[in-house]
Amino acid sequence: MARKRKLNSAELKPMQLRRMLLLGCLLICCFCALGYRLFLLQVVRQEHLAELARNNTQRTFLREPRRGDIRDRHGNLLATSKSVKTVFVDPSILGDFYPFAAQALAPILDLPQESLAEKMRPRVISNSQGKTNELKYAVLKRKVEEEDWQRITNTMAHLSFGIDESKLKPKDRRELQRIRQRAIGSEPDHVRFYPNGTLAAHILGYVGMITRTNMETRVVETSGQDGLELTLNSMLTGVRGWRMTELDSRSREIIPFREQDVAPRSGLHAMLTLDSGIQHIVESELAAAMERHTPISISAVVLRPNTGEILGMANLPTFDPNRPGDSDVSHLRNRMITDLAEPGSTFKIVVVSAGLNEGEFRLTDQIFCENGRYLYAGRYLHDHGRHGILSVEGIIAKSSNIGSAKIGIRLGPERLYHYVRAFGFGQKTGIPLPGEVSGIAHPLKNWNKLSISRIPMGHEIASTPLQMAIAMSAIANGGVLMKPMLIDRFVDDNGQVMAKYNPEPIRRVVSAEAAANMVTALKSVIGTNGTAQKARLDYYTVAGKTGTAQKIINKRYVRDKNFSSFIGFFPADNPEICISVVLDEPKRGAFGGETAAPVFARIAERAGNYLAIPPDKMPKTNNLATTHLTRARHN
Amino acid sequence: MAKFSRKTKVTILGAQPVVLIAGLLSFACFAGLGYLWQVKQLHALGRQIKTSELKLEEVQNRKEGLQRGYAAMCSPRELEERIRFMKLGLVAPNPDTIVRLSDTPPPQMNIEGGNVLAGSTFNEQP
Repeated sequence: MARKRKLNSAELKPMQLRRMLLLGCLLICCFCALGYRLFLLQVVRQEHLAELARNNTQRTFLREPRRGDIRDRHGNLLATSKSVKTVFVDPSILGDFYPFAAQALAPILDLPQESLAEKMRPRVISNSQGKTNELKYAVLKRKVEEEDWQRITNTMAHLSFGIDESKLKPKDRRELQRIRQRAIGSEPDHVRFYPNGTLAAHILGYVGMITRTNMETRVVETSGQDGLELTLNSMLTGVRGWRMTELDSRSREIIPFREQDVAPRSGLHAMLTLDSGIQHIVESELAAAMERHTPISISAVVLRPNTGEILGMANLPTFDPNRPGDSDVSHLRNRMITDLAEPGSTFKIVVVSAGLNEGEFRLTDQIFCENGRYLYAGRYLHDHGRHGILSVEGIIAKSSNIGSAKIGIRLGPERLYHYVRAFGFGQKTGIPLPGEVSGIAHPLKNWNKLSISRIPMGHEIASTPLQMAIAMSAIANGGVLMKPMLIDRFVDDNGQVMAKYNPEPIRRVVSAEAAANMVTALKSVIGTNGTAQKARLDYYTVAGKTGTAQKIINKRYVRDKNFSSFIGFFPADNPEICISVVLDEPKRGAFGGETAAPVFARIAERAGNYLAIPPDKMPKTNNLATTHLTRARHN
Repeated sequence: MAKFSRKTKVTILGAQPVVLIAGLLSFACFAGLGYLWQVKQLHALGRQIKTSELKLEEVQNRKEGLQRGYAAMCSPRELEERIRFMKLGLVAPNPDTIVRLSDTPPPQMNIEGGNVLAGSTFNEQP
């Protein structure tokens, strides 16, 4: 056998070199290929791949601001926001187990099982570029209470999905656990809450959800729909914040990689002029009157004549702002500012104060009231009683239509119209509530020959109950008309005042002397010869006026359907509060003196006590406290 | 002696690259470990922050809940119901039983006969 010849070193070297070169070339080729791939990924496609990576992990979460509270003048909470959850599902994780989840969660979410299952069903969606993706987010329900969310997490944690886990491999058991933990999630949310229920419902209003598009993102947010929630929406809604962060493979936030974290700014808190104690007094007395007289509706307002601050305003029937959809639409209306009616005899204060202010009349001047039947411009005008000669004061006390018509005729159309407008009729009061109407005060050119005799008794003119109350307040305020105030100030979360509102006088309508004379006349309405003896109070002198206006249906006055009202203030010579009560078609009793005046008296008595208004008169009784002090003084 | 120092020199000189490499490797090791430790600390801190944020949210929710509960308890309707239920018999006082005091300077006190009330600061209002 030939033996293999050993290669000598001279022959070995070139072979080694060739092999080394080959290996070297191979390695260089591999490195070149890797280098090329690196260049491709890191330079050429760097932006695209970086974006893909960012989209995979980076998330921007919008942080919803907390809506500002609404409080009364003492800081009592009237409206606030409650933290709740928006529950969503990731159908791509839930997969084919969605019927089990729907069955388990339907009773907790109070939703039909079929619609819940439909929301949970995995599906594919296409975006604006036509690219299809698995749906990873679907809202199941918004405004879910914290307790219900706890029940959902507990239910999901123990849901078996109809599978016997003991027969599963560890990997499948882990997958099932992942589905339990990650398929259903929640986001923070807020819901508006009114802790006092129906209290001041028409003032507060209510909120609803609106959908807006914010930089290609659909956002659902709370927005005021009525009342102060609507008027003050921009102040109560805060400013949204955001958080730009990264998530790991388990969708947990990686805090150190939080790039931007802008806290939301909460909305401002509104402090009203409203007093919840007075508001409750008004609402409880209106409820009692509603039962007694069964009108279609009853409304009342309590305000300070010197400043225009509204302490209470209520309408019945009312609604619960926590569930506005449960009430009839007609109950949502704030009739104090939306309903127009002829003011009737309460309007006499305008024409009589005009006559006093113009110097045409004094309180003691005598006017012949035609024994209750007065022919003017071919039509008869009637009084409720057959009055002969009445003083101007008596015209107010007995509410003589003929007397006030004669005052109006003496004034003339121009002057009468001037005072109608000066007292604020035919224009909005400026109260910061939506839906206010301006009323009807026909311009002079539309007056007919009867208007000068009809307008003084409150016909041919339409006003809201608030307009009439504000006009009466002008008399109580020495002749100065004030703008109604509902908001006192806005404060931030730290209690710092951001905006403060002051009382706003609109104009002087009559002189202080004319107003004082008018007050004297209005005091007589409560006297023994007046129409509102039931408005009398034991400890306060009251000044006011009754009104009973027939309703117009199908352009005709209807005898048995009235708007009955009483507007008054006390103490008469130093008024603290003015109260207006209006009933629409009271069934038991028709006149303002019978129906509205007693309601006024009950509200006034309780409000006077609540506000600790010093009485300006004493009943003629021998009470203990006075006796003690008198005896002590004489000893 | 010269022979020993040459050998040592050679040993030292020969060991220098090894020491250098060992030093570099150790530095890299420690740097790596230090980096990992720092990342771990960051993540732990991140978890602490998250826990604190959740705690803060919980406390804020509790505060809001208590505020709502307090508001409901202060509701005039609720207070009237409680007065009725507890049969406290609370009624509004009559205005004429209320003694009103005003902050006027006290007149000269007449303490004759020891009757302070005779020159009292009571400013009895009707």
